Amino acid sequence: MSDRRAALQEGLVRLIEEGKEIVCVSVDSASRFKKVKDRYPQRIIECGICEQAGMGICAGLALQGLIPVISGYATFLTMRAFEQVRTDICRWFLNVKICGTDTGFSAQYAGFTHQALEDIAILSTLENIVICEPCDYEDTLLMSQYLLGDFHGPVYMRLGARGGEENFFERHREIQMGCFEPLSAETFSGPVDVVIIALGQLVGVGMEVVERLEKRGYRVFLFNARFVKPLSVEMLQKITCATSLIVTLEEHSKVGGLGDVLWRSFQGFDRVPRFLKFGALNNFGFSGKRVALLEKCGLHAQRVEELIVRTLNNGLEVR
Amino acid sequence: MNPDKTCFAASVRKRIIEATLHAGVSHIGGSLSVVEVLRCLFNGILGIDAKNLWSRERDQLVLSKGHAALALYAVLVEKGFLPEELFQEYGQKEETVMGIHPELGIPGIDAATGSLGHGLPIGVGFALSFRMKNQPFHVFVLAGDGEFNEGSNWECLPIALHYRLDNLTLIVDRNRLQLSGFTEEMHPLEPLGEKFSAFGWDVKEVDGHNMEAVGEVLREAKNRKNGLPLVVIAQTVKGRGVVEIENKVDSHYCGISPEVARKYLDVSFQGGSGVIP
Ligand SMILES: Cc1ncc(C[n+]2csc(CCOP(=O)(O)OP(=O)(O)O)c2C)c(N)n1
Repeated sequence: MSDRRAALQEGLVRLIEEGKEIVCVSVDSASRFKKVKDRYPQRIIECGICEQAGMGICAGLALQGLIPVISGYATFLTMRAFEQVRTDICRWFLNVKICGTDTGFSAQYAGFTHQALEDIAILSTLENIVICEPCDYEDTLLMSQYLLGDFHGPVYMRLGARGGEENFFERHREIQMGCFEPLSAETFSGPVDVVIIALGQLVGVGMEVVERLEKRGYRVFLFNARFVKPLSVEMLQKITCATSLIVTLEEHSKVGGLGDVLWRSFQGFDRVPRFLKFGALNNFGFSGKRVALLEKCGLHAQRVEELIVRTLNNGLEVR
Repeated sequence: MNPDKTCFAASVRKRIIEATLHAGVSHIGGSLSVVEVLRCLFNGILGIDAKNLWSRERDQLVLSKGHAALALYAVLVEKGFLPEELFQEYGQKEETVMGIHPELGIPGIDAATGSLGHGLPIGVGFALSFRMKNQPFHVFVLAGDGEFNEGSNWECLPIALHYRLDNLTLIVDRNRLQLSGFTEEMHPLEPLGEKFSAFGWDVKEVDGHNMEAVGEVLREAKNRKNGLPLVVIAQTVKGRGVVEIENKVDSHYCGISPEVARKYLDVSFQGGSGVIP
C-alpha cells in the first residue's frame, strides 16, 4: 500500500536508521507504526486510549531530549488533548510530532465523531506549531524527513485513512518551510487569472480544475499547499501581486482552515486579490463514501470550475 | 530528631508566610502542607546539586500541584539553588517569571505546571525516557489529592504499571481539602489507597509532616527495584503551621494579616503552632 500513512511508517524507519531518537507513542493506534513496531518494537510506547496522558507523556519524553511522534485519530488528538498541546508542548516549543490521521472525510462511514474538520482551526490558534499536510506518499516521505527529523519543534501533520489514496507524483520538490509546492511550473510566476492552492489529497481536484479552466483559455497556477502554518510572507506577496483570484481547496471546515489562515495572513498587504475558499460545511454530520461527502460539500472539479468562472466574469466574490 | 531538619522546614515556612504577606495573597494552605515532603526530597533524596541543577541527567521532580510553587521556591532558595532576588519577586514586580505556577527557566524547576492533571503524564514521560536511555535516575511527582479528580491522572496508572515504572514515585498530598471544600464531601476519593492497589500500584502511607518517616519512605521508594510504580499517600494538614488557617477551606488561596504573620515570623518561631515536633 502506498498511502500517506504507509509513507509515515517508512519515513520513521528511515529516521530511526539514521540514528534519530524517535519514540512512537500509540494511543491504541499502533497500526500507524506497524513497520516500526515490526523492526524496532522497543521504540513504541503504548498508552491505551488515553489521548491526554499520551500527549503529556510526549511532553515528558521531549523534555528529556527524545523525539516523540504521536499518531492516532486527528479528532481525538486535537480536541481531547488540546490543552496538553497548548500548555505542555507549544508553550515550550517542545520537539513533539503529532500525526493526526483520518482527517477530512477519509474516515468515511465513521462519520462526525471521527471526521477531523476543525483540527486546523483549533491548532492554528497556537503559536510555535507547524501545521502541514502532505498530498501523497512521496510528499509524506519528504515532509517526514524534514519536519520530523531535521526540524526541531512542535509539528502537526495531517494524514488520511488507510488505503484508497491517490498518488499524484513520483517526485516532489524539496520542502521549504512555509512554502507551497508549485505544481504548474518549476517556480511561480504571474500574471495568471487564478491561483489554486489545494491541501492534501484535494490536489487531485485541483489538477482537474486546472485542466478544465485551461481548456477554456484561463491562465491558472496550482500549488500543493503543504503548509497551513507558518506561511512565507514573501511567497504570499508574490502570489497576491500576480493574480486576480485566489482559491483554496481543503478537506476541513471553511471556518478556520487553510483559507482563513491565508486570509488572516493578507492583513496589511497592499493588494489582496479576490478570494474563494472551498471546504466542508460547518457542523457537517454525514457518513458515507469520501467522494460522496466531497460532492455534498461542493468539493468537486465541476462546481469549483463553475464558481471560479462566474467569479472571474462578474467580478463578484461568491461564498 | 535532627534539629537541622526542623530548622530547614521552619525557615521554609517563614519564607512562605513572609512572601504571602508581601504579595498579599498566595496558595498558602497547599504550600504549607507540602513543606516536609519537599524538605526531605531536597535533603538527601533527589540527586540534585548546584552542578547538575540545569541538567536533565539527574533525578527529576514534577510539582503537579503547581499552585504550591511558593513552597518549592522557598525550598530552592533555602538550598541556594534559587537566587534570593528572584525569590523576592514572587507576586511583587509588574512582571516576573516568579508567578504562582512554576515555569521552565527558573533554576530547579523540571516541569512547568499549573493545570492540574498534567504533571503525572509528564512524569511518566520522564520515567519512560530514563528507562529507554538506560539512565539510573528517579522521577518524583508531587500531586494534590483534589487533583486526583482529574481523569488524566487515572489514565496514567495502567501505563505506569504496564511499563513497570519502579523509577517513578507519585506522592499525593492528602490534606483532604481542595479548592472549595473537603474532598470527601464533594468528590470522594476514599478508599484512595485501595484504588491505587486495585490498579496494581504499590501503596505506602505516611504522616506527611513527620520528617523521619517521610525521609525513610522516600529513600526506600527511590531504591526499590520491584517492577512496580509506587504511590506515597502523605497524610497532611492544609495550612500546617499557621493555626489560624489550618484545615480550613479558605486557606486555599488567601492572605495573612500582619499581626498573624508577626507571630510566626518571630525569631523564636520553630514551626508555628507548636504542634510541629
Ligand atoms: C485543570 C485545572 N482546573 C482547575 C484549577 C484551579 N485550581 C487550582 S488549585 C485547585 C484545587 C486543587 O486541590 P488539591 O489538588 O487538593 O490541592 P491542595 O488542596 O493541596 O492545594 C483548583 C481547582 C487548575 N489549576 N487546573
